[in-house]
Amino acid sequence: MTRPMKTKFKVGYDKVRDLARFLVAQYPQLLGKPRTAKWTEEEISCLLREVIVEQLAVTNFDDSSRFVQDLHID
Amino acid sequence: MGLDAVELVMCVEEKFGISITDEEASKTLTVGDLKRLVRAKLEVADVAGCLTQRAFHLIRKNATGEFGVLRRDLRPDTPLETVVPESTRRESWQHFQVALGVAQFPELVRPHTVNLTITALVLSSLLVPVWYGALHPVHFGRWMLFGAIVASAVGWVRHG
Repeated sequence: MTRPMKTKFKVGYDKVRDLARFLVAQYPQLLGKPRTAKWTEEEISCLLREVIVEQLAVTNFDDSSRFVQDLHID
Repeated sequence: MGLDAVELVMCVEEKFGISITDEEASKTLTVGDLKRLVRAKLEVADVAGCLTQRAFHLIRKNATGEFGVLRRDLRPDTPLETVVPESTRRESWQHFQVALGVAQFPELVRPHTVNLTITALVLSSLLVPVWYGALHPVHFGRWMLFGAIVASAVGWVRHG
């Protein structure tokens, strides 16, 4: 009944950049990646970012971010 | 290792189809460490070109046609809210998904205020009957049942 109210973009998926990362993580073949079992560096980065955003509800982090001190993981 | 860390590691294992030992996890202090650990456990292909860049160009090409935004206005940092019109966002978002040839896009969510209002309604539909039932102990059970039904109905509405 409240489904029509779903009109906001989820945090972490609210910029064009986030949508591009989502496509790399979920649909690499769409972007011309050959059908192979091997992963690309970007796929790993994008999917890992997606996992961290989903699990820790943080969006502002980079490779140097520390899990305990910066991302407040217990 | 805390629960957050355990859940994160399990999710990474599931998404990449790898296994991470407790010892490896305990040595993983930064996001970069985790990336290196995952990379070391996977076969990595050397693919020419940048997939993120290709994804951006694909989005831009389709968004200019779909939403009428100017090519120069669409940058990586552009908020999607300014691209997809709010009045038809749900339909446009689905249409854009089809145009890109993607099976599933990130789901749209309710505004925070709507979620808060629904939560307040659920809580009040539980607390008001308890309070009223306490004032009229003879019908306490009836009021509790009423509250439970109303709270479940509001919760169902939220879920749907």
